[in-house]
Amino acid sequence: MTQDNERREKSSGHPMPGDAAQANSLLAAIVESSDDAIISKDLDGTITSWNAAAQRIFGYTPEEIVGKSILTLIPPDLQDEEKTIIARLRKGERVEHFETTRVAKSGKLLSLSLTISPVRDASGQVVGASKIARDISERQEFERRLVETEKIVATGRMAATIAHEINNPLEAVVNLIYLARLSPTVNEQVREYLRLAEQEIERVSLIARQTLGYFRETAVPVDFPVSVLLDEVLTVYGAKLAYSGIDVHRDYHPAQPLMMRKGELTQLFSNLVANAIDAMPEGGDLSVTVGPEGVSPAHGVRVQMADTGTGISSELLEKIFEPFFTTKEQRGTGIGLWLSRQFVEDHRGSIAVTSKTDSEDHGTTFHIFLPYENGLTQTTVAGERGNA
Amino acid sequence: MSTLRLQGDSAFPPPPHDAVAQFGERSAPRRRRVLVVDDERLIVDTVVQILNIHGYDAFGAYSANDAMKLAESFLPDFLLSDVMMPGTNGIELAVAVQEMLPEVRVLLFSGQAGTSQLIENRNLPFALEAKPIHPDKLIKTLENLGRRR
Repeated sequence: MTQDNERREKSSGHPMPGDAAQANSLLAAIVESSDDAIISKDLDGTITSWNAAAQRIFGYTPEEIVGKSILTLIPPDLQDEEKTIIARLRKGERVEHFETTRVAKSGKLLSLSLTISPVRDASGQVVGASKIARDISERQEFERRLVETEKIVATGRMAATIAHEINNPLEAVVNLIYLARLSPTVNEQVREYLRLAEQEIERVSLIARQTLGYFRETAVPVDFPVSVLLDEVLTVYGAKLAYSGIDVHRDYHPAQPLMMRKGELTQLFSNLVANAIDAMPEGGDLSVTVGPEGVSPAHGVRVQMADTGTGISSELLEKIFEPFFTTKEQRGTGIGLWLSRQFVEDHRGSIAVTSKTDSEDHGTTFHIFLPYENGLTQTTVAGERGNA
Repeated sequence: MSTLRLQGDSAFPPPPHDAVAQFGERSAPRRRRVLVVDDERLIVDTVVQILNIHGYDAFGAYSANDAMKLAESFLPDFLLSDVMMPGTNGIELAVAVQEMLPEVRVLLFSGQAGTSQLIENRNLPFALEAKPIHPDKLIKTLENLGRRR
C-alpha cells in the first residue's frame, strides 16, 4: 500500500485514471481493440478470456472457446509444445516471439508469433498465463516470395557474369574459325570440319544468350509458321529421339504464320522436346499437334506436345513452372520450363500442362496457345530480360 | 593500306598486302575506316583482320583511352567497341568520340545482358549487337549502318 501511494505521488504529473474501475475498463478496451489475439488461460490450460482479434484470427466466439482447453488451438503433432510452455510459466519465465503453427476453427493452419507471460495473483503465485498471438502468415508468405526473388536476382547476376566470361572467348573463337576457313591453304575436308565447328559454336552462343544471359532476343520478330519451327526443332533432336527409341507422330493442320521471336520459341520447343526425351528413357511416343484455334480476336495457333513417359504427380505438376524447380535432380537447372513460360508470355500466349501417372495410361501433355495478336511487329525493338 | 600504328599497347598489325590480295581485296576509292576497341586483345586482333579482308581499313585499340588518342588521328567512319571494359566503358567512349567526330557511326558489341537498357535509358544513337557476333553478320551490320544517314 505504501509503495502504491509512493508510485502515485511520483507520477502525479501525468493524468491517471481516477479509480480502479476506470483503469480496468481502459485496459479492457485496449485488449479488445488490439490487432493481436490476446488470450488468457489458467495453469491447466483452460482458456479464461478471449478478445475480438482472437475471434477474428481463430474463428471461435468467446462463448464457444472460453472454458475449453488451449489444446483445441494446437495441431495434434505440436501438442507437446504446451507442456514445455506450462513448465516455463510455472518457473515464472516468459516465452517471447515463439513462431509456431496453430489451428483455426476452420481447420486452417495459422503461422503465429506467440508471446506468453505468466499471470500472478496478489501473493505473487503464478496462476495462469496471458498469450499474445500475432498472425504472421502474410509476413511469411512475403518472406518466402522475397527469398525466391533474391534467388532469381542472385542467379541472374551470376548468369550475367558467366555469360560475359563465356561470350568473350566465343567471340574470339568464332573469329578464329572464320579466319581459318578463309585461309587458301585449307583443304575441302578441313573447311567442312570448320564449318561444323562454327555451327556447334552457334548453338553454344544461343544457349549462353538465352539461358545464361537471360537475354531477350535482339533479332527483329519474323512472320514464321509454327509447324516449320517445330520441324526444325524435331530435326535437331532427331538423332537423340531415335536413339532413345521415341517415335514422333506429327499431326499438323494448316495455320497462318505467326509473328514471333524465333530464337525464343525455338528454345521453348527445344525445352519441351528435351524434357519429353528425359521422361521416356525406355522409349515411347511423342505426339505433336499443331492447328489453328479460336475466332478473332482471340484466335491463334494451338500446339500440343504429348509424351508417354511416367507422368508427373499432381503435387509436383503445380510447381513445374516455378524457377529452380526440377525433377531431374543433378541434371536439371530448374530453369527450362520457367523460361519457357516467360517466352510464351512474351508472345502473349499461355502454356498449361496435364499429366497422368496411371500404370496403364501415363504421360505428360503440354498445351500451348499463341495468339496472332501478340503485339510483335517487324519494328519491335527488343529489350532484355531484366534481372530486376 | 595505312601504316598507322598504336603507341604502347599496339594492336595486331594489318595483314600484309599479299595476304589481302590472296583473299581478294576489293578495290574502293577510299576504304572505310573502323576503329575496333576491346580489352580482349584476341577479339580486337581477329576483328581487325576480318574487317581488313572485307575491304575496310581497320585499326584496333585495347582500351578506351588508347582508342580516344587513336581516333584523333585515325578519324574513323565507324567505331566498333566493347561495352564493359576496365576504366572508361564503351558507351562513354562512344559519346566522347561522337562529340569529336559527329559523323562517326557507332556499333557496340557486348557479352553482357543489361547493356541495351543502358543505351535506351540515355536515348543514344548507337547500334548494339550481342557477343558473339558472327563475322558475316558483323559485315552486314556495318554495311547497313554505313547506308543509314
